[in-house]
Amino acid sequence: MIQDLMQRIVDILGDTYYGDVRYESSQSTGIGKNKSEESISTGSSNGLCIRVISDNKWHYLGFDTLDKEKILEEVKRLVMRVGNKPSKLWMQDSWELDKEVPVKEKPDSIPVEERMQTIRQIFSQAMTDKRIVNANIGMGNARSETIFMNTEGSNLRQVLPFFKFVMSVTSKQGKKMENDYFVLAKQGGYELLRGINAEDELNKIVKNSIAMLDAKLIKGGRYDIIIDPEISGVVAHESFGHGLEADQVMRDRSYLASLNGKKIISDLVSMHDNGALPKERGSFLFDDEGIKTRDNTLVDKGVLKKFMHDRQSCMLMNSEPTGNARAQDFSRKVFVRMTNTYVSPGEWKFKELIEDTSSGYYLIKNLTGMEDPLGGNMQMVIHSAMQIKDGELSGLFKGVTISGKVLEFLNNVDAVTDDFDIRGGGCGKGKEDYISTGTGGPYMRVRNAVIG
Amino acid sequence: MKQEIIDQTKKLAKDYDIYLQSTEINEVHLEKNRVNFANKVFDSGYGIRILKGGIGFSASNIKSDELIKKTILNAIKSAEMTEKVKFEFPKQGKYPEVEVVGRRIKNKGEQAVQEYAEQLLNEMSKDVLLSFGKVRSYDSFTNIINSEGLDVQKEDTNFMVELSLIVKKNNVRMEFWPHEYRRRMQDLPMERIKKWIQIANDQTIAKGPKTEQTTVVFSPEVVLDGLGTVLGSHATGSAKVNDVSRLAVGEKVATDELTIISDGLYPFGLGTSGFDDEGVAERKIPIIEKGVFKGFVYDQFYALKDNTKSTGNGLKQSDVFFMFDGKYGMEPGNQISNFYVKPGDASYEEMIEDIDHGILVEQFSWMDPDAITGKFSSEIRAGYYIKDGEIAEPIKGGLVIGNIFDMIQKIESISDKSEITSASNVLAGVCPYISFRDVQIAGK
Repeated sequence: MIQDLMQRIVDILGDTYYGDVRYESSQSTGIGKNKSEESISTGSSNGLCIRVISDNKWHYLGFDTLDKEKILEEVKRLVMRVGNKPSKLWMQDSWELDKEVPVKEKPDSIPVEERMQTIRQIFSQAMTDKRIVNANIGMGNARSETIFMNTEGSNLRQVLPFFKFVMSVTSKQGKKMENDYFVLAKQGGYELLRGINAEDELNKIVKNSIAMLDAKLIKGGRYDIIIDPEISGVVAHESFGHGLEADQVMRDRSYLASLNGKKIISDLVSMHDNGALPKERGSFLFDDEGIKTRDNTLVDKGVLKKFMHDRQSCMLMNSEPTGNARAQDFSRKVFVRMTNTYVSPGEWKFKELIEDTSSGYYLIKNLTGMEDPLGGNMQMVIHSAMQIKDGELSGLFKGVTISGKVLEFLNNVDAVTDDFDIRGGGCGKGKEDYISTGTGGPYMRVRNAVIG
Repeated sequence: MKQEIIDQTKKLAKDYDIYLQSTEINEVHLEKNRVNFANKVFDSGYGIRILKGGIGFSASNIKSDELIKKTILNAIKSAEMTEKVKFEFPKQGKYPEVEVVGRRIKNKGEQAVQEYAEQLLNEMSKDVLLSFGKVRSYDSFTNIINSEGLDVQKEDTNFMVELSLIVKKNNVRMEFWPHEYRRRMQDLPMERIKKWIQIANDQTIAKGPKTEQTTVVFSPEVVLDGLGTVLGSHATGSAKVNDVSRLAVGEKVATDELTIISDGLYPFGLGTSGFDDEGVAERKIPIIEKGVFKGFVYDQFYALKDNTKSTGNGLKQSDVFFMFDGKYGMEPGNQISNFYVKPGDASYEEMIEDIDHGILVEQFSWMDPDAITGKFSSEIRAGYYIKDGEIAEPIKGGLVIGNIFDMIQKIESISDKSEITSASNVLAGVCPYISFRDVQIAGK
């Protein structure tokens, strides 16, 4: 049993100031189809990450092959080499957990043929309009198990189920091409797909992809804008949240470092990072340092309340761990990372918001966003926009970006709806270290925003 | 492990290929001018494709007999479940000799990474904070075997540096945040680090650009992200077959100055290899020659689909997060190899001298054009005005807005040196500086 090997490793790590060992294993299936090919792929993997801290420096070992003798020998060598010098590190009482997040309908319980047939039907439907030249339809599921043990005596195990369903379509007219997409990515099983009307969602992206062929280029400038829940989530995560990762603060690399406790944005905006939220893509029971996940209020009515921490950063910043220590996999470093990051809902209705806006743009779907934790600048590429004139939506626009300073942007929020959604996605710390996350929020109106 | 996988696959399947890869990774992280993390990882695994009507794929890094058999059976089942395809695995070919191994990484990876990190720290002056840094080496061995008798092996190395360089002057703190890959450590020498520090220094007095249409010069990295993302995608056989390419053979798509090659052989290029990830010999494929589109690059699947031969462009590289280890977990896709832009006639200095007024962009926040439409709108993270033929005051902020397909018809000049570069969306390039006229800047 892997736990036996892990216990032997922990016994050796007992000679260090602190050490832990994390075992990961996963099994996944992906099914997809486009115009030229169908694919079914499966994968399995495991890995072991061993960490030791001495004199505030972390030392890791990573193994994908569970060769007991080799691993124990390498661990002994590591312990001898690094010593047991004290470090500033959060210590806590040991705890135990063994939990598998339940799934209503396991995807792998449905025959692959049946799932492929569903994909084929959706693909055929997507291609019925001649202006659609290609479609990519796919679904994937994974079962991810983590076992964690450390020198505090904790013994934890969690099993998480991931499910993803993706549709994208490309329209073409002469040399002009456009596309649109739909993503469903959460924790759960096949019931998630049964819970949506895939046909309706497909029809929407087909219609919009075709309409985009005649979309006009937006004229850059300052406008009142309404952003959708997807864009609100990316602002919360990408433009704002990365600056609240405590490791960025400790590196002198956060524009938010000196603002804790201060009112920094509109009092209509509250933000959370909540790894304990059920069924979302950024949810888990304990982080990669064995800390229980929780709901962290980052901003309460415009006041900055908290940074996100790991065991080391919280000690250096006189705080507590927040359950945000995460690694891409056994081979990568544990960093302070976000989980499910979102703006809390308000009281407006989306319809009221449009009717209340005399002039501006309604921005729809986020394509990309990049963090700038030191500068606090935003760069987001948006899929499309509609013009708002006298409380009504009209016209479709492309080539839309949001730029400017994120604090100014969020300070100019003057209305927040009670419509609220969280979308599953992924996040890199810079350009690597990919993890699964959730981002979301309500519709928000932002006055005088810079769009291009 | 290898023989076990081959024997089991042979026993269970008739048409197959097996991709085996093992990698040793050594890594050091720095934070606030000190080393705070060291890591050593051993990673190895196998990916199996089976042809049985359709193509099925399964991969694992678990080497037990039971899992190996399960992985093969999963691939077989997947092949049976997908629609029938016209496909055959490639046969053994003649392979070119290429240079892809950095000896320091191969011989003393752990020590070499630590020494490089120490050199980095020595470059930091009191004005410069190395907020964080990552130095990582990959030493890989790959073996591809298939049912057509193909059996090819290679060694290669890769090297990554990511830095956050923060300079503080007059109460202004500015960051330059490079993230580069090379095959060898000596291809990212300390001279390059000095240049990055200089850019960070200059950013402390940078101002936002004004709104105008002007000449814009892209650095090699920006050329790779801009042109490589869009043209690299449209030049694939998969884009042609799926009817999502704007390119047609023989069509004039760019000014005469532009020649682009998918160059799988460039010495120490990040996309260089004797063979692609299906075992087909790599080569140089002209994409655009003097502005005229010459042809598509193919992997085995799309070549057969389009009644032609693979050009050695079946590659396992993610366009989201670059992979050097763990490639066994991916299926090969149809991709360009090194995105090589042929140098022009003017030196970089002459190119700048010829510009009365313009902007040099060293780095965008993220140059991420839409691969299908070619549109982009990116914020300048580090740039300079060019005035009267000289590099003038630094600029930061403001958007460059354009469409790559339009811009390659407005090339003014290409510098006379192409250098190995990596970017955010495209890993492997050999690119020069390129100046484009009449580019829209949205600033103050």
